[in-house]
Amino acid sequence: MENLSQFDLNFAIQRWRRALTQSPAMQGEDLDELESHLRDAVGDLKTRGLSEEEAALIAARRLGWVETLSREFGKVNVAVVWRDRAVWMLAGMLLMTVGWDLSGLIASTLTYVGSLTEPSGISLGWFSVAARMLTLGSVVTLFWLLTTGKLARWTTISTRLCQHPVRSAVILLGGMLLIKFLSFVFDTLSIRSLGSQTLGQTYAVTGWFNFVSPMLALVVMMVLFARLLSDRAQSAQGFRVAAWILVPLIAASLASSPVHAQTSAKSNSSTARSLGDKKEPATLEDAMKLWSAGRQDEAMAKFLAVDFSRRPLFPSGSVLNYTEAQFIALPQAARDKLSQQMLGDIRVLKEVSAHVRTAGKAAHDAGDSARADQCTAKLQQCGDAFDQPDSLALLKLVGKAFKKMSAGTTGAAK
Amino acid sequence: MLAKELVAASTVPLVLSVLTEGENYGYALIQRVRELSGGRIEWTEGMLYPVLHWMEKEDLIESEWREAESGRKRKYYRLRKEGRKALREEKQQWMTVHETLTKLWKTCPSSI
Repeated sequence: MENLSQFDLNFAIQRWRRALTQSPAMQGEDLDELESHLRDAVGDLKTRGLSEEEAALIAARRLGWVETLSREFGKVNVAVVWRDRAVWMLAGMLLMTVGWDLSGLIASTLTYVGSLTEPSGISLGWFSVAARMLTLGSVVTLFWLLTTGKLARWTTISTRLCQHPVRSAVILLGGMLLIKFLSFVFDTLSIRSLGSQTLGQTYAVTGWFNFVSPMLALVVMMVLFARLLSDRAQSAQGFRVAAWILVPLIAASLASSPVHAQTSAKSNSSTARSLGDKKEPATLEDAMKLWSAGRQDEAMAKFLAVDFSRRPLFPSGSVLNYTEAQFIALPQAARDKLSQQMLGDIRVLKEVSAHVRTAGKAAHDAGDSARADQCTAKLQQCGDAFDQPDSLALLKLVGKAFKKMSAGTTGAAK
Repeated sequence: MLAKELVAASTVPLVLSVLTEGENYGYALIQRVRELSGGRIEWTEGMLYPVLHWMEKEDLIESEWREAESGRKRKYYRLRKEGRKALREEKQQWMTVHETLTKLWKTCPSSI
């Protein structure tokens, strides 16, 4: 009876060699020597009457199982084995860092884009978290697919990378620096474009996520570790040990995360607020906007916080910044148009100041002299700022009126 | 079948001794030992090579790749001066053990 497939000794030896190459302990020369031994043994056995296939089988078996062989060689080539392990450990750490930074970049970019549409802080926070989870999930899935061998094409890329280590290292380092830099850019842009309250809410959500996700990653890693160990040693014990380590970890993280989220949210929002304050000092424009929006108390609070020594008083481009001389120099049509805006703004200013005066009076009557003085002083400052020699005539009038108003409150006090 | 520890301990002196007959390669070394021991010393073949590499690292032996007439390459080993010295020491140690044991076994034939 003839075999359909001819036994090819060279092919079989190639396969045997490939199995041994899996172990890092065996170097090329070692394998050559073993192969030479194998061929000698096959030749020997054939002279005793065995077929080539039978001889190959017995010779390979006599040579020793792959594991025992690699263990024995590993004892001699210790340095090589550890260097190989170190490479894998470093690769793992690198992958984690890149994955985390990349997900951070994507989250920052999308957050910035989202912030341009002026959403609420909490929804923006959740949006950022979702973006981050999606990216991390893709990285993990990619890695998992690689281990199951479904992405054979990628392994050729990795071997090519290993052939030019210096170049690959430089590219990788450059890439990571770029990612970090871009994340920083987008984060700063987001901070600039969002109000401090929105920012605080965003941080409340993302802060919670940034605490929980390393814990989650730890859980996943321990499960994987236990699975791999148990596959090798066939013991459910490893899995149970991992589970017992994880249970208290999970419980602790769950118990502390709401508290942590709260405290971190508070600290984050206060930093956000102080950040915001640096960039947004109270302006008269803010007060007027709030008043027009119907938020009277906030408008008054803003008014009381305005620094009237700052110039320009009004947003650049507002007609109220003009001097009387500049205004008169404008053509008639422009003056007419701007007058409308001027009147509207003046009306709002008058309303706000009236509100401030009432509040000051009420505070004085209630005995809160500090508050009363604050209102009075602010009105006085505002009046002085308006009543400048070259201010618009209309603004000067308003300023004078304010000063009289503030004197009125102090007059009542006296 | 020899005890594992004995096989392990005797490997180095056996290799050194066979190499005094002239240079040789791994497979032939195994065959020679098996032949000399009448088949009672059977080395797990793969285990010889790590030992050979260790001995080479200790400068007891040196190796060289040689091409046989069939075109196949083989790694040949030969003894170095340090190896000969080491062999002399091993011989001393083994003879000590052997003589002591032989004395004991001669004087108490009934207990064996």
